Amino acid sequence: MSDARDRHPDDRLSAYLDDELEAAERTEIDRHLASCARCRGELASLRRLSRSLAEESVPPVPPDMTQRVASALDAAAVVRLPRRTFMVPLTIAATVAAVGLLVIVRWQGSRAPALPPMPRAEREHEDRRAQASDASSLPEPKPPVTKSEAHAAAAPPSRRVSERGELVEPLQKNARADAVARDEVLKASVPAPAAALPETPRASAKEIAPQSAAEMTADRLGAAAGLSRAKVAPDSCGERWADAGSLATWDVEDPAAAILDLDALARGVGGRSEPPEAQADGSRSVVVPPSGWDAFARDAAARGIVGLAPAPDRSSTACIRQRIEIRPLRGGPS
Amino acid sequence: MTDTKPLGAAAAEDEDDLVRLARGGDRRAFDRLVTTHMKPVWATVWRIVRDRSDTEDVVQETFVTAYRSLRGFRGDAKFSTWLHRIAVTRALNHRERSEEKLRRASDPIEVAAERAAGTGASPLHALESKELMRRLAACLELLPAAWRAVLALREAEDLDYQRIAEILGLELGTVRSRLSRARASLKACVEGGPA
Repeated sequence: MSDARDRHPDDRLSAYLDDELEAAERTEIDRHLASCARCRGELASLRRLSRSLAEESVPPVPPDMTQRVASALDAAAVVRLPRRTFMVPLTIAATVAAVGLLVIVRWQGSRAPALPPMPRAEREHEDRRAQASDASSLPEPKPPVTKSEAHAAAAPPSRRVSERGELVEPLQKNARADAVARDEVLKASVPAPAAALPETPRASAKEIAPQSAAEMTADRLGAAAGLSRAKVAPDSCGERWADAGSLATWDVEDPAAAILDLDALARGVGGRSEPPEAQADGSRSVVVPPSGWDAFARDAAARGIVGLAPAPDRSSTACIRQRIEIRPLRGGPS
Repeated sequence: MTDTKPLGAAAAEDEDDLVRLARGGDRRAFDRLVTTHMKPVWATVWRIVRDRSDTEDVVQETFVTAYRSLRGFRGDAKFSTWLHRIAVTRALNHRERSEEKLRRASDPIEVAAERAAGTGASPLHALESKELMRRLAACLELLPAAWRAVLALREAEDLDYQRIAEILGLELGTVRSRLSRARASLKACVEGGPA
């Protein structure tokens, strides 16, 4: 008897109460309870606690809750609508137009010192990708013709490859091709020494090579926001991005749906999302302009994304690139 | 919701049919599922976050996430299990985002439990119902949200351990030990009286 009391099955009474023990274990505890008043009392307390929890009142569902969900679903559908209905045909149209334009650019490139204005198809493509972005915060090196553009057009063949890459890059059909094109641009670019760059890149960007100005901007952004050393590359922000350096994580039920959600989220703040260059499984890179970072971070946090980079310096013109690891929940539903 | 009038196959009463139709893009079928599951989802979320406004947000997130993720639902598990898992995950994430970390850092439930071990503790069986419910509500606030989740699914939803494990994505043994610890802590807190 005293032996039984010495080994009170406290940690098993809960499962005993729920009838979740194996038969042998249950029999063992039955025997113990028959001889232990303390454990009988403990079990009675747990039973009362259990009943009380079941009886605890819950506030009623607000009458407008169902309607509120319906409105949120409507909004979610609106966000996704352009992707399904307009993206494919517009992308095809833009690609066809760009191919034609590319032929013209190449032909003129050997004769004329200046590049033509940005093609309409590409502008449309950029507009689509940026969607509701704050265009004023995303200045682009466009006509009138700048010194850098003239320099680019007159540059040796390797430099003209870079310009062709920039024209073609936004029209790639997938993000991997985007990354390859971007790498080509970076390799073909000849950044000026940092010491030779002016201190205010926004004011002087049209006077210098665009990549160099943006690189310096991104470096300063990185330092201001405590990010890792900035990298530069052309992207749909119409600017450059600084690598957040941190890896955020997102545990989700459905990774495929999460990626769609992330795409919509990024587009909604004027950015974009894509697989990282390394093609790491399950991760995604989001490029967001500083003006949209707060909204992005708020909505991302609301979805359960953790480990996002700190808010960037608003004065910078460079975008933030944040990598997010999308992790399927273990033993996910269905 | 905006239009509850049955339309074609969306009038189907069977939940499997509604799920199948919703997966195919039938919004009205999904609206019917929302109506059907609103109350249990609301109750589960409230028991975890314990704040009306937060519950509204999480419930909305839950159904939007479910709608967006519906294509990934293969039907191996019950729709309600799948939906509850989304709700619980959202609720826990929401709670984690707020002050849960701070609360857990100070371990108030442990403090209350220690008080219960002192001489002033009132045995649970001796408490009046009204006082018991008052203490219970206060102590649940102090409990880690992950423990509240397992209690909600067991005590309120009356789910067995297997189903709870599926919803929370836990091993069966973890469900068992978590429930045991949650109940023991809650009991000690109630008997000691919350801070």
